[in-house]
Amino acid sequence: MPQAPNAGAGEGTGRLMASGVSVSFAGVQALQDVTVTLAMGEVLGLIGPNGAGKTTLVNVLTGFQKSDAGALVIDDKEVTGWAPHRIGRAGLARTFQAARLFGQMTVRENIELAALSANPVRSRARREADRIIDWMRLGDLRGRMADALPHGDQRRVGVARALASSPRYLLLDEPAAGLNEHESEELLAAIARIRADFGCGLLLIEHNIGLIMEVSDRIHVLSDGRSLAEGTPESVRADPEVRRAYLGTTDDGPSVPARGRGDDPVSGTTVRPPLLAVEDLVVRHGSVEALRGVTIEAGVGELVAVVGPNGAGKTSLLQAITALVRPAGGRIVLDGVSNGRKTVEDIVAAGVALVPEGRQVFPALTVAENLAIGARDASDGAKTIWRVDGLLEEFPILRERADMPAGRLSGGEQQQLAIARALAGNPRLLLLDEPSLGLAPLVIERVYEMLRQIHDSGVTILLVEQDAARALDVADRTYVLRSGLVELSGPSDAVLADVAFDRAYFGFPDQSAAS
Amino acid sequence: MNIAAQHIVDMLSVGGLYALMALGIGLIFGIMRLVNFAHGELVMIGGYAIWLIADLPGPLIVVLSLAIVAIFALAMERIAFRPLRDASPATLLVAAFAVSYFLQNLAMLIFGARPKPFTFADGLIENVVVFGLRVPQLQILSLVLTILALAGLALFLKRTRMGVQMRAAAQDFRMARLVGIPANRIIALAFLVSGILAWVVSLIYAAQIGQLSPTMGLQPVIIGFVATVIGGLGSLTGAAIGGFVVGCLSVGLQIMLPGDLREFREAFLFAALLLVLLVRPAGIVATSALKERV
Amino acid sequence: MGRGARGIFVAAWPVIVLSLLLVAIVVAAGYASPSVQRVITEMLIRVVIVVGAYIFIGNSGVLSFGHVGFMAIGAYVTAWLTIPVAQKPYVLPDLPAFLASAEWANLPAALAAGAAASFIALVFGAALMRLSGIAASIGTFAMLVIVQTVFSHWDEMTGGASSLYGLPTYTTMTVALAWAVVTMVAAFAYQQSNSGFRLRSSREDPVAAASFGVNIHRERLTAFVVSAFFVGIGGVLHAHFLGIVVASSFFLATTFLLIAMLVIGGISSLSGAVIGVVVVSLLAELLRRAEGGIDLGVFVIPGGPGLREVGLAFVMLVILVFRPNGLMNGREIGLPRMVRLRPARDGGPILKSSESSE
Repeated sequence: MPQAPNAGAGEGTGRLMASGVSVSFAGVQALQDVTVTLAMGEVLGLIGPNGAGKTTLVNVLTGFQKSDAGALVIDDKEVTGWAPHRIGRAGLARTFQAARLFGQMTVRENIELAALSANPVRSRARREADRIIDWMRLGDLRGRMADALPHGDQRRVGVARALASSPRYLLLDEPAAGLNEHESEELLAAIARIRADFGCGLLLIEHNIGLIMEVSDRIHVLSDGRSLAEGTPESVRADPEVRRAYLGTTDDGPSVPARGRGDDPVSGTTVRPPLLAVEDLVVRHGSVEALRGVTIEAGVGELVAVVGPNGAGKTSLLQAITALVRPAGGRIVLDGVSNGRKTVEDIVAAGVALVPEGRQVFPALTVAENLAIGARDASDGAKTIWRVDGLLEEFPILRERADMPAGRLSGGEQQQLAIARALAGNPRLLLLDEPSLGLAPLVIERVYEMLRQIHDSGVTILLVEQDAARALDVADRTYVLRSGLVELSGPSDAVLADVAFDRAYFGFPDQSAAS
Repeated sequence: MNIAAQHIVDMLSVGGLYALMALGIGLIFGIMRLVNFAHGELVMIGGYAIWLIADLPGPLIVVLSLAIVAIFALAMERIAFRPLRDASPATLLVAAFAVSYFLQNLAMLIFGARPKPFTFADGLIENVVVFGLRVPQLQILSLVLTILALAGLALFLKRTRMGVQMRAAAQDFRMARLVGIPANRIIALAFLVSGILAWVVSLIYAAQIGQLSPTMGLQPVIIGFVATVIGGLGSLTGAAIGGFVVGCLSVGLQIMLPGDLREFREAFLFAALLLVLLVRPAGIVATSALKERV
Repeated sequence: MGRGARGIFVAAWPVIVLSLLLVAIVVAAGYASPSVQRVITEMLIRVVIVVGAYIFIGNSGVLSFGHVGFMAIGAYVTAWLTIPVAQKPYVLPDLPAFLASAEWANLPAALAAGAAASFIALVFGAALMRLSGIAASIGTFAMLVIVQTVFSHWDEMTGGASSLYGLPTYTTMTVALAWAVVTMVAAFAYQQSNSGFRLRSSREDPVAAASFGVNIHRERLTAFVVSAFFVGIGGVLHAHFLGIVVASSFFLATTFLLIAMLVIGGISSLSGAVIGVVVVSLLAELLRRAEGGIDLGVFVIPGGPGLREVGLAFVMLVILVFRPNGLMNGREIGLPRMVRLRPARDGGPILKSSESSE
């Protein structure tokens, strides 16, 4: 085994601390009084549902986001408000979700550049880079251009690059995203070796909760911009609050509504003719494989939910259905016709409407204009149900604010507008991407009530959610998606009752295997 | 008092012209992240088009010259920019620079480098008295045309379905496609509208400078650029505001600079604008168009 | 140390090849007519200017429309310093005394002119380099307009729009070649330096670069200042080639030629910059000769001023569409018969702008 470079880690007494951090964007509180500490030699896991504020916290720690309040201290040195490059030199290194290697530079140059930040003498930086290359066993890739590497190798180079800057603290941003089982295991081993050989503090942000629980000493949970819990993996896993933050809140457990569900009680497949059939779908973003062979069906008039943690590939699924991305494999069949080389315009014309994640209303257009823009008659001679006037009746709050720029609506109002805008196109298939994201419980209630009504009117709905409890409550059938694969599927109540649900959703290791 | 009023009229008319220019550029940038250098050449083409068909009856001149500018606007999108639609903004900028240069020198090849007199407005140099102000007829006509064009554009963007679609596309092109706005058609429409704006500018500008040359589009396009950046790249409101800011600043410098420095007005103008950018790098109406995502 | 003489040889290989290429052209031109030699001299001056501009544009990925302004500064400063004292009262009667009495030797004057360009670059750059991507590019345009306005109206220093004459015409083919080689070596040295290395990483990914301690603002400014020096020298050589200086010659036409050469050759490698100059100069010369009209037998393409530019713009557009990374595709000239580990790359965007364009 190559000798471990004892990068300038030194004695293991230092501490990285962010205390009382608050950040707000345009009135939305992204982080509120969050305090995180990381000691050298320790592995801290940072988890939280989508929208919890993890990315904002990472940006604050690395200097890319100024905080409204709070202090950032690295080894007794106050670094609050420092520019990213100074924080980088102060001993905090990071990897990126999307690798972000220097594409048109060799692997060695990538690592050498990072080494240069700790050691401005070029020849020493180069030697350091070579040591790290040997330590990470990247020797074969030394002279390769970074952007020509497969995803897994890019990840490893990203870690090597971060290590080369002799960090005292290392921030790993979604290191397992897009890795297969084998690569994930390698990653786990690498993390253990980093801690043993470099002694730096590791902050691990990861959606793969199973993985993070396995390697972390402590876990910090963020939810809605606040610290929800902190403790050992066991205590966090046992914390009902944490489970609720991910899966959503229902007081009395999911109830099966009496109406609208009866025709096909228990079987896993539809008896209704499928309006949408996704077959063996593979989607890649650059070198990241977001979906690895997903098969999903939605029958005419059905409400189908796809749930899973962030990073599962849910948004990629919707992007593929709407032709925003081209599948790398498999096919999508809409009403018996394969999507093939169809454009976004063709898909919309065929009666598909999307309510995107984060609403994405047109902020400078008025509410009425937002609605008018999506208005079109139903395709294929189907009955046109929704008119702009009718929608304004249906959503009284929108009628009240009809002449207001959409950007000035509250989050919940924007969500209603986004749904109304999609309905104005009289879709046969309505796609919703995380409609509950960032909304208050009461507002979520209202949004889901709306979904039920739309479902009753006969529109086929594909609902993508992280808030599993709510989605399962309203959906006829549910698919659990994790790491680009369908882990579990069937009628919603059966899925929720399935003992395998937690494992499917969170990827918790089997208890037997873990111990 | 009278002088102050005169200055205000000047600022409005110059600012209005620059706003028209900035809007034509801002519209295209908002929709496809293209900084269209060749917008200035549409102004130049408008001037030469009128000159070419000068012997026809008035209304025909208007219709034909407008049609010619529109055709060039649509053609440059179709031929040069569509193949590059997915390229980076910087690549698009270089491409637009090349298109601009191509058209400039094509005009040079056809019409020669020597300026051609543009004499249509010569009958309009006499002053008229309006509200106690002595104003050249040409300035009144320019002001009226500018106001009509700005109002027309505002009406189109506010009141017509296509206009609303265009604003939507300028804000979020991808989402616009998802609500059923066809990409190709809306981009072509944007070039058409920017062509019409350029044509209005060409009428006013050619009449004001009294001559045509292949490089006449340069000055307005550079001013238009800076106005869009000052106003905030990616915002139509910002473009209009930026145009007026640059116009007022330009007239203001003309008034305030002592005589021997007046010929350096442009240098002062651009230096002042650079200072504005130092204070507000994202422009007056900051949008997320230039914001880095980490 | 990490690499010995052989390592430096391998790394410097592109500069060696390119220098040999230029030397070979000059030697061959030695047997040709004086008019051909003038064409070659002009080409070598362009190598200085384009490689000088490459130091900033190529390494930072930020397009600059303002570099021709540095040429103007170089040209005027050398004019002030080298026009013979006896002639100055006729050319620039209002020149301040310390300049009116100055008559420097050519080389110190050239160095001073380059330094002046660098100083102006430092002043403008301090503001411009804070802007990102497209806004910075437009900002450099404003800089060009400012420089142009000042030089074409500053009567006592520049004679306004009329031309300055009386400069010693010392730019021979050999002098131009020497500066071209010096500029290439300097560009290469900058590229290899810590600053150049850091700047290139920021071109590839500004966010990641900043995370690893790269002060992008400072590295961009460094490159801008170094780059201005050599472009200023290019202006000096240009002025002493023609013997006259005209403000209007440092504006858009020259800017276009400069950008065209960079884009056609490939903006992100030194080899691309040099090959761009050679190819475009050749093309421009052919087109210039065709300006009398081209007889294709079947039909005649009418000639005239502007044909050269139309042709170049067309070629540039074709390159942008079909080979967006330029003729050299972002690479340096490779070592012959040596296994290079670089895999083929597909053409990404020619410039990485620092904003995401969704």
